[in-house]
Amino acid sequence: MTLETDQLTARRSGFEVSATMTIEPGQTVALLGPNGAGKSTFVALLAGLERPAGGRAALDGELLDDVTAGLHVAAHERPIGVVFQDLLLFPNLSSLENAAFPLRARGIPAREARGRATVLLERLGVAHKSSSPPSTLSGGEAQRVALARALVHEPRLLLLDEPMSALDLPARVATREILRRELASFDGVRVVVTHDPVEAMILADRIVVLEGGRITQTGTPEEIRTAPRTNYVAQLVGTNLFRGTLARIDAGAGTISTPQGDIVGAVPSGWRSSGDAVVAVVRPSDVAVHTTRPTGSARNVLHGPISSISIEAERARIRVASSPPVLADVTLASVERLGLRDGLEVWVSFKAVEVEFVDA
Amino acid sequence: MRKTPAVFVVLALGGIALVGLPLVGLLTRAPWSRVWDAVSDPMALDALRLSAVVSIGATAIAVVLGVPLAWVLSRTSFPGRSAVRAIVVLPLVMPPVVGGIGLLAALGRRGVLGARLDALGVSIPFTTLAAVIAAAFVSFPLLVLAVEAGLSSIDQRLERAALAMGGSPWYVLRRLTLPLIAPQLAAGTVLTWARALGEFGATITFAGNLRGVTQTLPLAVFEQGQTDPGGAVVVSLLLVALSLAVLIAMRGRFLPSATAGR
Repeated sequence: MTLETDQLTARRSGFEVSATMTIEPGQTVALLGPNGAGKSTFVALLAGLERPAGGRAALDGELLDDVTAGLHVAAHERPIGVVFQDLLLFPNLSSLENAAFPLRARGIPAREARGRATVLLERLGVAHKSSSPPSTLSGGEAQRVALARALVHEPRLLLLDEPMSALDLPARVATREILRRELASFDGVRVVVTHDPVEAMILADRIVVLEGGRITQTGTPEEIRTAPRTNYVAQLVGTNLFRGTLARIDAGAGTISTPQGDIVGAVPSGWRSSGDAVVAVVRPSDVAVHTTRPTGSARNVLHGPISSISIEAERARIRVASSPPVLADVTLASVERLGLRDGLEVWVSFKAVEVEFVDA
Repeated sequence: MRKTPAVFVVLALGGIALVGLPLVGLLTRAPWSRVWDAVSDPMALDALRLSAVVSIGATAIAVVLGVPLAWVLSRTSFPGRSAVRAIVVLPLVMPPVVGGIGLLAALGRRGVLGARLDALGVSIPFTTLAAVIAAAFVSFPLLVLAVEAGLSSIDQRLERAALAMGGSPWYVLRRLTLPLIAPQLAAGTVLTWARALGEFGATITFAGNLRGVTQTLPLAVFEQGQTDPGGAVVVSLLLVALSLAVLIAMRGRFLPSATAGR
């Protein structure tokens, strides 16, 4: 199963989205881009909710859209499953009826549809909420019902639009686990749309970067990280990612050992145990730079010389050759006030709660 | 608690009096000793039966034609949509008598459509069907407005999602859209029915006042009022009781209350 798009284009009031890509089955592709890049429009195109202004799209060689031939397969006739950004569970139906909807809509008898939906809700751990209306579900439960609804009819294309954006941090950790498992066992084409580089790196085998309605770069997460082609992609490189193993956990704080040094972060309760491979993410804007050793609540204080300062608009990105190396974003005013320059010995600090752990 | 300005209290009481006084009048002037006679009078019974037929028939027509029209008005865009909406609302703001004259001009023996029907041997004016059409004409906007309000309150992304889940447009309508607008549809239906029940002007103009054929309760009240005011009061109370009963039955369940969300 392969998804191919050939200059599949949508136009709305002066904005154009156009993409050519081939997505092989058995790999998860992240469509990554800033807000307003046209990701949701592209989702609507693939789902058949929007008629393209040009181009072609085919799934397994079967045409979904061919504008020159005047062909457009309607949304409800496409073999796809979608998890929408705001989930969009049907408020008048129970969780079970939501999950069974794609089957019943395709004419499968209610009994069989409910049976198959129940199996899926059980696998996703929300079967106990079968008779609850969506408004009574927690974010994580609603997310899983939406996932069940996207998978229940065994689609050939699975589209996840910002699957975690509606979740708080603990729910995100649990959901990410489930998403990874479900994505791994789904054998059709898998597309995850996200504006979150970390999510893209963690979930995807390949990343397609969409900016201003155009694909600006395609590659594995590692390729994207090491050879960014645009400023936006360069921002991804800028995220502090520390890969290592969870060394120990006490009182809600976990220590992650990386080859270059240790990081302390707040670990969600019940999550992972010592020895597991994890990734710790720290946003450069959460890192403070000091010219003297700071005293305070920050659990992570590292020391080293500034290896580079790059300036973008009002902000300066500082690379510090500490162990492990850290990126920090500070204002231009701070650069001046602290007299930051290449080679200056500085301390960087960030609090444990600013460290986000994700599965390796 | 915020303090209510005294002038508001006075004006509000005036408002209550405006609406409540006629009811008080009916209750005080009713010849209670003759209630049974007045209610079991054959003329009143005929009118009651006819009112049931006419108001329910008119409501059925309004629902069958009004729900699709409301859908078209809220979900599609076409040139002249505002004009169509204005025409649909017109019966609500124009005098019902004018509506009756218009119906006569259209469906009367020499009317645009009436002349053709007449050639086929069909004559609508002054029949029960005419009373139904007149009642449907005046009450139709209430249904369309209520349903259209319901449709615009639905997050349309839900309907798009349902399409993407494999639901054909018809299935989505049946399984998602109609259940979601059920409260507004019910409220609109009740209001439409109540308006049809009370219809007078268009009916008497287009359908006349023929006992057992077009004489609904309001027409019977009017006729009786000229000869037997006491009896008219009793039949009026019957109408009030009927309307109140429906309002109470629907209250809370369907009619929007000030505190309930959508």
